[in-house]
Amino acid sequence: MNAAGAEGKDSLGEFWRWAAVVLTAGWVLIYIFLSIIHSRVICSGLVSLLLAPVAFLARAGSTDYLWNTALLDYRCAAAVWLGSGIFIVACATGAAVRWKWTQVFLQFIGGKKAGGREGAVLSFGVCAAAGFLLLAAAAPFVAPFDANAQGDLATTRELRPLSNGIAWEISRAVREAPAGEAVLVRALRDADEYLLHRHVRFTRPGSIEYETMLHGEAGLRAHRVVFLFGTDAVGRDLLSRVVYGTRVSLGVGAAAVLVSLLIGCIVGFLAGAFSGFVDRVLMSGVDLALSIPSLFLAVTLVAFLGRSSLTTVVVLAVTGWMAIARLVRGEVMKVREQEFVLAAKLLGVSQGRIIVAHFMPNVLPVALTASVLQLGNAVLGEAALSFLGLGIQPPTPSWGNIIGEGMTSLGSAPWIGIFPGAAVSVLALVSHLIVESSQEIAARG
Amino acid sequence: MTAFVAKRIASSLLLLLGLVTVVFVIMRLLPGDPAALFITPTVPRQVADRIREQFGLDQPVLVQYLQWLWNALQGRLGFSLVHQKEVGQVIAAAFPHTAALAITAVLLEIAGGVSIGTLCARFRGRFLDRLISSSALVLYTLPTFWVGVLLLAAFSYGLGLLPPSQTHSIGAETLGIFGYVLDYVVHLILPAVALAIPGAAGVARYLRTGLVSALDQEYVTAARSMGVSERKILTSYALPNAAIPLITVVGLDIGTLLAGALVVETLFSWPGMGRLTVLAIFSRDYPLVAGCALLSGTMVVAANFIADLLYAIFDPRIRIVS
Repeated sequence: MNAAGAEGKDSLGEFWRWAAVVLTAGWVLIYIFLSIIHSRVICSGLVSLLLAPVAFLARAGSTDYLWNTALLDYRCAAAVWLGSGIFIVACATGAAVRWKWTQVFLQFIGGKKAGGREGAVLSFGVCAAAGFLLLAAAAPFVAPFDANAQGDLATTRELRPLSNGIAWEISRAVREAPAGEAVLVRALRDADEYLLHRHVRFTRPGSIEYETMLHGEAGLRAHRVVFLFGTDAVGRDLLSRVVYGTRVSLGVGAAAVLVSLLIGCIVGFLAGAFSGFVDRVLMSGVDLALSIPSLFLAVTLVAFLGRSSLTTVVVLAVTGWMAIARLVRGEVMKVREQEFVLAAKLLGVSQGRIIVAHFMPNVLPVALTASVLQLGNAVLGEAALSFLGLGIQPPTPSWGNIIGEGMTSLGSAPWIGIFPGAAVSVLALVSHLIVESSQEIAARG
Repeated sequence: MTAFVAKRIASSLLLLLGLVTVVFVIMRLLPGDPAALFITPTVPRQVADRIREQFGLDQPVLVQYLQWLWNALQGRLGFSLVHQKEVGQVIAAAFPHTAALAITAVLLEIAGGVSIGTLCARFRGRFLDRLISSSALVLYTLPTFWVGVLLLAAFSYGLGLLPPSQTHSIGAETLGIFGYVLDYVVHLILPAVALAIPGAAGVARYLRTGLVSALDQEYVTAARSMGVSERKILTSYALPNAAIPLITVVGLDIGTLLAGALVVETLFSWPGMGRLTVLAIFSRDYPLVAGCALLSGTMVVAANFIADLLYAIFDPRIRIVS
């Protein structure tokens, strides 16, 4: 910036620093809150996570069900949950006993490590991104219900945010344990069964279905629940859908960015390393790919490849590598002219070693910064494609297709489009903040 | 200048040639050929061969490519299977709506962006500037479809002020010419604003940076020491210089918008190129998809070419350097 921007620097930096701290504290509070209200599921998930390998190694009974996707999902979420819990506790104890690494980490969170306003903005962005990742990885524990859990359509569709309802949980069947079953295996079976039978059905007090269930079948337990984000047009909990959608949107975005990072690095490196004809051909390829608006290109490709999640990843990767290739090319050309490369050549260092030891460390940070921005773009692109009905197909929730589904009831239930849209916007903003601040820090040197 | 223009024209034409080729390759990579849609197992062999011949599919690939190129040059892009019309005619019906939307959106974008950017530069470093600059960043990153959803929810369904979709109300034909146009404009407002908001925020951010660095230049100090008012310095000294790079930004936006705003047009059921493309994809109308892709690429290339040309006219350094 310049003199004009400098006067207000401190107060704004202070703002971002506090924002980062408040955000981190918020995540911790949400973590504790969710741990308490979902204690039953989380405990079962942890038991399953810890005992499943034991059961597998001991070959206790049939091991087929151990690979059930829903169970694997719960176990991964349990691993993430346990990991973040240990992380939080370690940070807290570290801060209490003034352990060196914790101090460094907390300084980073507070934005003091990189210094200045940019450092604070960067740490805010990183905290927010970490939160999104936690949401995505631990979705089964964060989401109150299954993304596709439904209920009594007549009374639970298009409920406003914060309205309440009743969730019927089909309680675990009490079984006699087979004689001679090991205690550990029985514990695992109990945990897994609880996880697999977390089916719920929504009703509202006073509806016919509620009365029937209340006086009818045994083995059903009713909970009073609050639909924090309301429900969608077919009565599914919107919060659960948005949380599970985080996983789909981020996953598809990240996969696409990995592929475009690969393409971009290869093309950029080749163009930068072999100037002349190769460079010109590759760069006119980049220009050609850039000459069509990326969403248009993506949509056209979908037309020819068919609609599926894999197509979405491919299409987003194909439309996203150009910026990375350009940046990598520029950086490679810059590094190539440096004296240390010449020195290495003169010393007889092999070509491969020069690439690994001299080019990679200089080029990778640039490519990674570009790919963070690209992640934001990919998530936006996925949302746009799914919104048009050309990306992730329902009933799998993704931010874009939830918005798309909400369009039919925009007049009566605008919140269906608003909440997932807010999630997309926040993620795009966060990726911008990270990239802008890290570029400014890099420029500052 | 002539050399510069010639070079630009050559590279634009090359890009277009590449574009046409890519579309041809994609069309050829499709499982089955374009004639397969007409040839069912019950169609006699001779008829099937006749159809293939009509499509030119009995020719070698190179001849087919050259034919495709020649036809594309003449604007003959094939026959739309759903609309049962020439692709060119279908596009010609949709394009005016997209053009109206794009031009309105860009005008709004420039008006909003330039006034906000100038305001920020006028109060640079102060609270107002920081407030507007940070909200501009937020607006800049907002996805257009979410802006559209919010606008629809607020102004159309919430307040009932503006129509949510289509280009005309039912029975607009009876309103007379003035009422008819007014009805169109009323329908145009929401989609145009949805497209213009992120664009205007981008222009404002860009312009603010340009203005702030222009205000540090020596000619500004000179003007200030000669007693020229701050307002005049900003509007007649700094602004023209800072506005030149905007040509590229706005040129890119115009190109993208003329290609068809896929999401916003779908959101508002605006019968332009974007919606046409999406519908063509849903109905697997491949000739139409190819036509739309060609037109969109052409629009972007043309807009970039014109932007480069304008840039060279306003900033002579460009044409001397290149």
